Amino acid sequence: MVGLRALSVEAPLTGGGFAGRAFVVADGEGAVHVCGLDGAVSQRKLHEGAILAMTTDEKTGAIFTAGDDGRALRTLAGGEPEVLHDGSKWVDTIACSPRGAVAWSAGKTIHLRQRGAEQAVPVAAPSSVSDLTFSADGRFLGAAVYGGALIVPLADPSEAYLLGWQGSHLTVGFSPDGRFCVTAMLENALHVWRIDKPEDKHGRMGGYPAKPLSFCWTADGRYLATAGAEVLVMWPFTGPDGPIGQKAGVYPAEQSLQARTVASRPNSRQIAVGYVDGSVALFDRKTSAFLPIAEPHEAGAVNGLCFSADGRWLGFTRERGVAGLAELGKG
Amino acid sequence: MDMQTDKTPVTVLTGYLGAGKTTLLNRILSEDHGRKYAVIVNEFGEVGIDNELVVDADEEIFEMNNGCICCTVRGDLIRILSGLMKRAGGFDGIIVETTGLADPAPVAQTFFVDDDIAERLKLDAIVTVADARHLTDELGRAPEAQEQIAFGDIVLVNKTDLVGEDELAAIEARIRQINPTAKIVRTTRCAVPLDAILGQSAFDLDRILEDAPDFLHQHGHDHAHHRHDDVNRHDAHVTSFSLVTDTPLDPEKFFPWMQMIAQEFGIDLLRMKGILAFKDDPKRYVAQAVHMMLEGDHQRPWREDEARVSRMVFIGRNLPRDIIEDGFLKCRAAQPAMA
Repeated sequence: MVGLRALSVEAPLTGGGFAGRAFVVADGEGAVHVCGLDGAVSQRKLHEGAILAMTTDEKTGAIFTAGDDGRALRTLAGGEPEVLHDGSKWVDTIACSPRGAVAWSAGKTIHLRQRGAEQAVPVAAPSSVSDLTFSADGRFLGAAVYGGALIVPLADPSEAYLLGWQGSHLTVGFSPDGRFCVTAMLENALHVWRIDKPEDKHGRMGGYPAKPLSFCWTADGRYLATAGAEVLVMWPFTGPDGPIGQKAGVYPAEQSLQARTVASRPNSRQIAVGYVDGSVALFDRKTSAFLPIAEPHEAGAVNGLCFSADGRWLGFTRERGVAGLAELGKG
Repeated sequence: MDMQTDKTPVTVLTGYLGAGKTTLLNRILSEDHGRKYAVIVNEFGEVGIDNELVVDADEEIFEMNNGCICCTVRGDLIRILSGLMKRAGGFDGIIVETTGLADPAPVAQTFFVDDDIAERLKLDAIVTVADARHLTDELGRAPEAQEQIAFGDIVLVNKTDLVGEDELAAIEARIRQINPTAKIVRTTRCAVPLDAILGQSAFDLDRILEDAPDFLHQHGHDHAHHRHDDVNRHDAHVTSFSLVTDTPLDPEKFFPWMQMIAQEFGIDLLRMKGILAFKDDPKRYVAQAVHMMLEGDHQRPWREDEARVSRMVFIGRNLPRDIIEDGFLKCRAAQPAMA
């Protein structure tokens, strides 16, 4: 059975993630709400305005927040926040790598702080940055920008280069094997590049009725699951060129409802899907069945969804302020 | 159509260099209206008020990857508006100031292109501030100035204390040539009641051409109104014309034609507004376009006391009026033969 706890916040929710033994959500009033897996709930005000982006490092328990007060913070439970950045422009995005690097962006500048480094180094982006993501192997930082994905090699950030494709790119991700980069675009499509041959091997994945901003690879890395449609869309990453020239598989749920977010459950064949009406389901690739996790809610679309590293907990946020934490057991 | 009243209205302030945008902005912010506005500016520091949320923008113009070169949006605006929507409590309104040389189209198109923006926010009106002393000269040499007038739902003719009445009348006539549907408001130091520029719902389909001066009262016979008398004038970059017919239109002819016009002439078509009477259709159909972006919907039924006249206004850069008029008239439904 699924145990589900709800957390009501009187402000829009802007991010969520697991930090230590807690699910943490960020809100539009500058606070983070810490929901311990043991049931304890606490909150901390970190920013003056809205928290625009948040990410967490589950292992160390660090919470990284980016605010429209121009600050980027790293906060550990019980400790004083460490100010990573304090400027006049909004800090729009923030990301951390499982290997200890952290990056954030303000306007057209990306700031990258390598593991163990005291200072961040600036990396110029061709436009303002919509999203930052590190590859799982820690080799690259990807930035979604106008005109493509900017790839920043951590070994030499001054050698950043663009995987180009005309248009506005909004979110970015890397396949688990680090061979492919994928972006979601303003034009309701995804774009994929084979990182070693981006000129020849790249392609558009289109046909979506809405922006497929949220996408994730299955735990085995064989498929890319995406939101943005009334069916769960899965692109194959089984061949040498990934989805280029391939067709997507589509998996309809019982009711037609637009998927807003997806997250892959670690070490399993399951994918959590968050919908525009606030409901959450768990899709099982073995049976192609959707197991309901959370009911529709007036707090609106599920705009954030993530699993704990052990796959036992699923946390989610809804746009207008009600988060949920589901205990799924061992799966 | 727009049943959702909880969308946050966005007002765009445009106008040529030195026209008085910042004065107007300061006026909006300092007036004791009890409302909460977020202001997006491009030249940080010029706005002298700090009790409101003022956000610095970079005016990034993004082309869409859909094969349409006039399909541009303000990328920074999408980012900033999305960010503002994350704030608790929200705002009573958002005001976007553009730079003096900016084309207003990408700002307007942002609200048509991005579904996530359109879901939460609505474009309320484009307010163009013009300097009465310099407008004639600017219109003569700067296409940007003409386009800003063309896009305006409201044109504030500012600094009227510095010119005479004859000159003002000439300026207004010149504005009317470019934009026959705008509301013209004379001001000094941008002293204008805020309810004359905010809360206009100028892009609501229901409001289309409702306030258009001397436009609704045209007689219903087939003709085009030339707002422009001398096409050979060297400054005739942006012009306008209106088309009227009291013969009902055939929707099966009209929609493909309108699509074709938007495709063919979209680059030069700045704004289009229309109220249309279709054959055997009790309801008015309203339509508008910004470049290639077309939108339209059925509206209220025609009233008994109202002539069922179809009217369209086109504002654009050297649009071929004869071709458009000819196509429009061909959309008239066949009349039943006399028995």
